[in-house]
Amino acid sequence: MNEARRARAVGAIAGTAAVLACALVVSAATGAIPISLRSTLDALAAGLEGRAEGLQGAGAIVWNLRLPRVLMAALVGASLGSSGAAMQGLFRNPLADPYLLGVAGGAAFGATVAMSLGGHLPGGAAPGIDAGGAPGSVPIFAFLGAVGAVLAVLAVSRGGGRSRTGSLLLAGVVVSTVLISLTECLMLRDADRMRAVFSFTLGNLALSSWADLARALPFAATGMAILYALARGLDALALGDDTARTLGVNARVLRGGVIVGASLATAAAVASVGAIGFVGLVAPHVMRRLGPPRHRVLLPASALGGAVLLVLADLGARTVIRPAELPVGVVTTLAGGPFFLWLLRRES
Amino acid sequence: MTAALSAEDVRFSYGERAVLGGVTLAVRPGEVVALIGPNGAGKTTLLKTLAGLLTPRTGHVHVVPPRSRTVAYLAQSEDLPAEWTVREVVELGRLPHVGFWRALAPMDVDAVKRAMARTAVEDLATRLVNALSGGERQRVALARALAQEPRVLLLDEPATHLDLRHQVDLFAALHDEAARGTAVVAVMHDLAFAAQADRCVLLGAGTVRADGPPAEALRPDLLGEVYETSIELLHTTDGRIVPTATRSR
Repeated sequence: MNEARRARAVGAIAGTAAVLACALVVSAATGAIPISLRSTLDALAAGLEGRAEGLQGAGAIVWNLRLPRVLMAALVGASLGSSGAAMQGLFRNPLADPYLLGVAGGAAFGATVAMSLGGHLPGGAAPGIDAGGAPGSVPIFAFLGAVGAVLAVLAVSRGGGRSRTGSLLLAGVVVSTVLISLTECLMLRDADRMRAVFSFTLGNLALSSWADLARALPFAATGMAILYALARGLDALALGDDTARTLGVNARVLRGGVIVGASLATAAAVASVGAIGFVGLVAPHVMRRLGPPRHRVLLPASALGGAVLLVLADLGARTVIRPAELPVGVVTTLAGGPFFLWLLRRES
Repeated sequence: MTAALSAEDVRFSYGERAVLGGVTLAVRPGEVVALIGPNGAGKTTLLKTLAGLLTPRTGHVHVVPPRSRTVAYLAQSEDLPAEWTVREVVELGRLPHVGFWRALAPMDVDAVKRAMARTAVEDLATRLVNALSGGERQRVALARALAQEPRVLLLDEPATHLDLRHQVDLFAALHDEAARGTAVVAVMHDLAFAAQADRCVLLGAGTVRADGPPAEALRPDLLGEVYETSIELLHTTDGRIVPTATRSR
């Protein structure tokens, strides 16, 4: 890499990281009760020093309620951003997104099953249902559903004369459609819980706690680490399957690894907060413009970019119709859709 | 001299359709071999089999392992990622040497520099691929392959999209590579250029119909039969042969 490209890479990553840090603090300070930046930073410092127990009033709100929420937004955004970048590299298609292989449909189905079974499950499903949150068994089922959907896609796509990526795409569409139909059947059977399921499919960060964050982090981090480890393989793939293979890249291992990594990170995200659209599509596109396209740079940059996008979207969701809240998925779709169209027009 | 690459009785079929019907071929270091034959004769299939991209139904292809360091392959029209710089693309050629993790060592950087110098793309190093002409792209793709420092260079119609001057330059570059000890095998459509190779392998319907120096392998009667058209050989004053097609049979 020459100096100018290196400088751009460092600039893109450092710049986005700085924007993320600011967005996190501003977002934690903003809400139904405005809290000064100074108090917010004090609460952050206290929490980081292990004095969170002693926090009261504004400090407690920042540390116990807002911080887990904005950090969850960052984690989910990072998972979706890097998974999106990896899927776009794997399928060599700029329109690929993390939900391509049925993760969202599987998670929605799993969540619906958990909600339908309701009280019959350990942990129950009752307390947060009306608020549309993901309590008790719901995230676990959503995660299992997401992973199950990807496994189903892999099984369905096996064999057939079509190219491996082509049949993966087709299988992804079929499995997603089937799962959405099944979800709708369950929802009709149990009209009371429709609202909760519907809210889950729109994406919601409102109820994220430190415990939720701790549960999602290992999966999201492992998934992103796997993707990062495969970055050069994705680079080689940009030269075409054949050339990548003659460069010693084992296409099957690479494809399998990327699918596992992206699915782990995405499933952790979807299980925690529902299927949030457009972040995984838009973040890599934006970061590709800011920094060099090598995946060693693009993947972490897209993770940071996705985190910024979702933290800002969540901030918007909480403030636009204050004191009420919009589902964050609605904000990302309403803002992301037109933005993405604009991006595509500018490219052509 | 021992062969840099050899194929023994290689057979290959796509489903029921046999494409290669027992090809035996050995390529020595320093040799430029032109792989010629009409459309559908199995040239690309043979090249992909030699490159390890296709597994022969029977028979073997021998190269010094690991294959990714020994054999470089240039596809018919290689995809080059638009937003990359030329140097970034050429550096990918070092992947078999550095793996997924190790950074480029000074040795790797040198190999990249040499490959770019030999293909005259040094001045383009920081240019983006989507700002290149067809001829420049082809040279960049070749530089990527040379950066692998292969013992065997396999090229599928490398002269596609090149004008005459760049074709001449390309074949000169291939002969330079051979002079450094690399075995070069190139699928060629232009028999006039094939006639300047060290050796021509004529493929017809999946079998080797002729294999030898151009003067021996390029016989008008045999070429006419395999290509199903009348072919004449013109002899230039400096001793080159130029096959030309006259009319369909």
